[in-house]
Formats: sequence, C-alpha cells, structure tokens
Amino acid sequence: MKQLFLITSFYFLGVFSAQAEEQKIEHDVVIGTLHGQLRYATEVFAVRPGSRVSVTLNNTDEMIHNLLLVKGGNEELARIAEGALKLGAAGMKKSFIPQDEAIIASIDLVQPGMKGVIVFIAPKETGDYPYVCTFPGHYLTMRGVMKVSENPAQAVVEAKRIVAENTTPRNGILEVGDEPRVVRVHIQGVDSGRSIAVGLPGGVNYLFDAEKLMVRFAWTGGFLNVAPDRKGRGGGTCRILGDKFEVGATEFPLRIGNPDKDPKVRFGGYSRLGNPAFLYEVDGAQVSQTVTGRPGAKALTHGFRVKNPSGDVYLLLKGDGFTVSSTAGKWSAETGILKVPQKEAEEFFVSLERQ
Amino acid sequence: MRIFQALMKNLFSLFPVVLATTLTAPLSAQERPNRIPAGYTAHKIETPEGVSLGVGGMEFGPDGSLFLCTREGEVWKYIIKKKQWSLFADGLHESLGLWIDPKSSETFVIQRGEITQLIDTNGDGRADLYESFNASWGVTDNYHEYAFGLVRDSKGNFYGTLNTSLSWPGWARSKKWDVARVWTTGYKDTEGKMGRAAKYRGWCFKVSPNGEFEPFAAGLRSPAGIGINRDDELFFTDNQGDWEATSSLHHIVKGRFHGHPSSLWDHPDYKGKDLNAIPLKDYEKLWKRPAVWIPHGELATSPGEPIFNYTGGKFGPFENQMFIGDQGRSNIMRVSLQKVGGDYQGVIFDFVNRLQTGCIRHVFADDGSLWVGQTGRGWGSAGGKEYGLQRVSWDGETTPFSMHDVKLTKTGFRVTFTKQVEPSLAKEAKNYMVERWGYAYHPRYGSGKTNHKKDAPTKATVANDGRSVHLEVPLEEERVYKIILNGYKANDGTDMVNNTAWYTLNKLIQ
Repeated sequence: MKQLFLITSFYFLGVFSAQAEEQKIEHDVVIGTLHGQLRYATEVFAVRPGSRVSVTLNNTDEMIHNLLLVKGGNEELARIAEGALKLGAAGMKKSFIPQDEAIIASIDLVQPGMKGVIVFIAPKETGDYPYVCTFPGHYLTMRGVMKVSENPAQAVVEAKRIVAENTTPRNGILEVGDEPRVVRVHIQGVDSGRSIAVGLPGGVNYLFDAEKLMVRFAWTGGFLNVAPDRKGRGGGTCRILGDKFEVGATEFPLRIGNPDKDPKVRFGGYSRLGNPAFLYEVDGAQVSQTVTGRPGAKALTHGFRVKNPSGDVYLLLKGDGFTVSSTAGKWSAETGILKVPQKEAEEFFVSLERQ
Repeated sequence: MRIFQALMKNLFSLFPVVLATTLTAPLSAQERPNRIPAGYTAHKIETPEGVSLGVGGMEFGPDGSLFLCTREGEVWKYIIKKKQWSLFADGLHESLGLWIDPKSSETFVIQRGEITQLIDTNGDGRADLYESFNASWGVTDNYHEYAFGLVRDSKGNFYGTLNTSLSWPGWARSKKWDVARVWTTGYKDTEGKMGRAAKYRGWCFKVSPNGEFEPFAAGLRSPAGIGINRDDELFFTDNQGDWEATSSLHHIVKGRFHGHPSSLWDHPDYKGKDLNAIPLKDYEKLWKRPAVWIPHGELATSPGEPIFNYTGGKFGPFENQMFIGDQGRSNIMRVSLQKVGGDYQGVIFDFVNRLQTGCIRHVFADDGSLWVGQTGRGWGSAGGKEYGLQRVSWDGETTPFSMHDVKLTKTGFRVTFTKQVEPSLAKEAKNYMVERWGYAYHPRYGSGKTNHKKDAPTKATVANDGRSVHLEVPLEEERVYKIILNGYKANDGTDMVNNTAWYTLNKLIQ
C-alpha cells in the first residue's frame, strides 16, 4: 500500500516537471507542511489570472497529506470533506479525493518526506480560492488560500497583514514566530496553577491545563502579555492577546470505560518536536494529545493517540454553539460525549468549530 | 543611550527566535567590590544582550559548561572557553532550581508546579521533551508560591523547598488566601502574613529516585535556598517575616518543625485542628531553632543558596566552610558550623560586600572559582542591577588576613585566624567588643533584638602559635554573640577586611 503512494508521487513529479520545461511556468509555488500541526507551511499565495501555475506539496510532516484546490468557500469545503470521508474503505485508494465539481486541481496523497506536483491554469476570475487537505481529520485546520489577483505581490502582503494585526510589539509581549511556543504561566481568570499556554504559527493559541488535562480555551491572534509576571517582583497574572473562544472545556475530558467516572490520571509532560504533544495517563492508558487550529478561525482539531485502553474511549465536551466531527466513533451533541470504540482509539482526530 | 537600550529590548521581543541562536559575549570585566579579602577578585560575566536573565539555578554540566535557569523560565548554556551562550529550554514557569547529573548530564529543573526533566532527544542542543518527574505539591495563582531547589543526595533523592502563600487580600489573588494563616492567641489577626493556599506550602520535600514524593520537614516560610554537604546533610535559608525573627540558616532533619506554623495544616498530627487555638508556647516548644541567625540589615536581608566549599584549597583558606549570598544586600557571607549537644550552631562572617546585584545561586567551578547567579527583581537589591552573573576567584597564593573560625568553648570563644596575629594587639581585652542578644518568636513580622547586652571579654589569651585567641565571655544560651575585633593587624602588618563575627549560641557545651 505504502509503495503505491510513493510511486504516485514520483509519477507526478516526473510528468509535470517534464511539461514545465516545455511551457513557461509563471508561478512556481512550493507548499511545505508543518510538523504535526495539520497545517500547510504556506497558507496564502497569489497568482495572476489565467497564468500557468505549478504547485508542489513538499510533505516534511510525519503524516500523509493531500491538497485540493477549490472554487468556493466554507460550504464547498465542508461538502468535499464529507465526500472524502464517505469514500470510506476506498478513501486511501482514491487519495480521499471525492468527485466534486468545485475541485479545480488536486495532488494525491503524499507520503511523509515525499513530494507531489500539479500544474494547472489559474482561473481567469480574480478572488480567493481555498485549498485543503481532505485526509480524515485534517480538513478543518489544514487549509490555505490561493489569491487570484492582477497584483499578486500586493495581495500576499495584505493577506499576511490580516494574520499579524493583533501582535503589537512592546515590552512583555511574547510572540510566536515560525515555531510553536509553549509557556507555563498564570493566566488572568484561570484558577489552575499549572496552565500551559501554546502559541502556534499564524495566531492559533490555546491553554492546556496540566492538572485537569483539558484545553481550557483557545484564542486567535496575538499570544501573551507576560509583563505582569516579569516586571519587578512579578506575581501578576498574564493576559492573553487576541480573541478568546470557548472549546467545550470539561475536567478530565478523556475517560476510559465509563464516561461518568473521574479517571485516575497522571500528567507526563510534553514533547516539543514539531507540534507540541501533551503526554499523560488516563486509567493506565498512555495518551498523546496534539491540538491545532486554523488562523483566524474559531476552530480546533484535537489529535488523540490512546495506547492500550482497557475499554471504549470517551471524550466529554461541555456547552453548545459548536459543531463536532471525528474520524472515529460517534458524537452525541445531546450528551456532549464522543464515544470511540476501544479498537479505533489508537489514533483519532476530533474537530470542533464554533458556529 | 537609554532609548537605544529600550529599542534593543523591543527588537529582541520582536524576534524571539534570534535568542535561540548562539550568542558570543565580549571579554568579562573585573569589578572591585567595596570589601573583598586580599587575593580574591570578582569578575563580571557578560550575559546575552537583550535577554533578561534573573538567575534561579546554576550547575555545571559534565563537559564543564555552565547551565543556568532563570526566573523568566529559560535554561541557558554557557560555554566558558568560547564565551558562548545558547538557549537550552524555555517556557518554564519561574524556574528557581537546577540539577545536572555530573556523569550522565541528565538535567532536572524545578519550576512552580513541577520537577521537570529536560531531554534533548534529537541532539540539536535544545530540549524537546519536557518530562514531568514530580508534581505532588499544590500551587495556585498566588504569586509567593515559589518552589526552590534543587539538590540531590548520594542516594539519588531530590530535595526542594516550597514557599508559603502570601495571605493578604489584594495580594494573594487565590481565593484561598487566608487558609492556615496563623496569628495565635494574644496576637491580632493582621499579624499572620503568610499562609497556605495549597498543599505542602512551607514544607521541605523529598522525591525518591523513582519519583515518590514525601513531605520531609515543616515550618518553612520563604526558603529561597537549599544546600547539601558531603554527608548528605541538608540546610536551607529563610527570610525574615512573620514567625521569622530575622533571616536564618537551618539544618533540615526529617520531621523537624522550623518555625512557621502555616505548614502544619498539612501535618497529619494537626489535621482539622484550629492552628490559631494552639498557644504560642506550644509552637515554641516544637520549634527547632536555626543553626545560624543572620541578623537582618546588619548582614543580610534575604539570603539565597548555601553552598559548601570542597575545592581542595582552590578557593583559599576556607575549605569545608559554607558560603551564602544575599539577594537584598548583594553580599556573600561565610559560615562555619559547630556541633554542640548534637545540633549544629555556628558563626557567620561577611565575605565579599558587595557584588553588582542580588546573589541567590552559587556553584563552584572545577578551577575553584565561585560562580554567583544574581537577580534583583524589584526587591531593591543593593547592587542595583536587575540580573547578572559574577565569578569570585582566589589567586592561589595570597592569604588574606581574616578570622578563619569562631568556636564555642566552655568559658568563651576561640577565634582562629588565617595568619599569625600581632600579639601585643591581640592580648588586649579592650580591643574586642562583644554584644549578645536574643530574638522573639512570634507571629509579628520580624523581631528586634531582645535582652541586648554589651560586654567586653574578661580575658584574651593568645595561643603560642599566634594563630588563635581565646576570649572569656559570660555565656548564655539562645543568644547571638557579635564579636568585633578593633584595630587588629596580622603579624606581617596586614589589616583585617571583615572584622566582625556573629556566633549563634543555641546550646552551651555541657
């Protein structure tokens, strides 16, 4: 199976690079992937209307990804993602690319460390054309926008300014560059003494509580003002920058066997290789949790890896005003519980988006 | 100039990634403190420009490079020969202690809520796995809940100290601000300033090699420094405050109560008891007096880490003695302990006064120099700087003229010297001033001197070798004796730099 994908990637590389020599490529775009973050390294690029474009998906991540360029907006993306999921067992074979008229161009699944290329003619109509990875669990956060504009350079500058507008450089402000930041702090209004703020590139931030093993909330835009803790004696609580949004925070949200019982837990720390992964034990099962989001969107995707659970795995999310989708198990909005069968808990992604 | 510095700071906050790269510092500068014994010099180490480096812990790695953790939550590595700084870890919560295995280089750091092992799994020089080793104590958003450390005994047990919570409305922030605030009968409820907003505040703890937590000793208030000697004996310093008459050095023994009652809230014998209904004399009976009182203002205001000099003579004539820096006065003090009646008591001297800012962490390098990690952090450190790093070294040949030690005898004190004294001056009883006083044990913030008396020694006897003097003095238990040597000179004509000794006499020799 794996070999098949490798061949596919090479195939694309070969065929299109040969073509590229014959006809002039006006825009040669290479899109990387951020390690473990379910994000493209390039989330915006711009091309001229009707130009010849080459897009290379350089998959430096450890997960498999594809790339679908779409005409339309959120509605079309949701439909395509759902179509990809519906492919079910045939999904891998079809690279999770469903039949859909809104798809302009696509790159098949690309294995870690490999590349995939597509050459196409850009639409003549100026505007924003989103691209997305439709591998199950990825679509909510793994997105970007191709801008079709008469002035591509200007369009990119403007787009990047929107992402950066909340970060005012002054004393005490911690910012996030190209790498995720992980900072343990006391945050204003949060009673936990063991809070860990995580800032991902592009203004995606959240607060992980190492005592209750939950994501307390998330925010878009700027990261942290730590001046109250750092000036003089310190001791002031730090402030989040940007726009906060609720993410269904529930104490000890991950449970095994019984959703009604507080589990026995132990926080084990975190890895900072790529996207920060929180490591902990729930009733004897080893859990690794990553969190990612989409710049500017009130949305998060949790990636869970649960090793040797003694029963079915439950994820509790309190509150309303958001939609939940998962690559495994069944979500009940009524009870606020996602039930993942024991056998499917090895790896699953849960996406949450505020309505 | 100021504007330029401010601009530089802003630039660095703009580009945090820049800090991750290696920085090279210019040559270190030598600075002359007001008082420093002959043969010793203080050098300033240039720290990475634009980085706020409030030192919280220091240790040398097996390859001889210095690691330090900071109040700002970073761990920096300094390659001494290349004068090169690089960032090893960041985002820690006020890291105030560090321990590195001298063989395997395993690195542990203590932050507010956790002992964490920092592991560089991919060998790129940056920690990427932050593994929680133990987090068994309570921590709230109360700003005074520092966790200090980190020492390890020969059996692999870790020890650290946990600050009490600041219990005062408006300052405490945690809703549990007044839990276990103790003022006891006869005192106003405004007199217990510190309390316990979470588990094991005010305790010294032990964590076994496999990670089991054990509350080890109680009664600590603001224990900013912990140290260990070759025999696995533990010591910590505390700061003046409620229940703490003045700054102090304590010998930690399992089960001991060191004076501040808030910690007893988590003691099994006091479970559910009203700590304010217990009379003061009961606490006093339970209280283990400090081995050494450090008179507030005279000598120190907020002592840091105690460290033993096992340099094999590379740090001058004070082998096996203890050195303690002070965060407030920015000085380094020297301690010699004496076991009397089964317990430590002893003498403390000023040593270097003063360095560039608050001295809180200390480590001896292989070459015998004492590295001093510094932080000012708004407590008005005498040195004036906000943070810094200095190194005090001895030239290997000059013997400074100094008291070497003061030991209690049955009838007074024997003062020994680093050199022969000038006998005609030393034998004159009028060249000595002796004061003694006690301290009150109470919930109030600090204590003035009680029963303060001044005596001249009745007799001063110079030993045949000229290296010591015996002073006959009226002796009394539970007193600090301050011995001042006036107009003293060595036989070779050199002056004494620090001419005062403070001896804590808890027990008389029976």
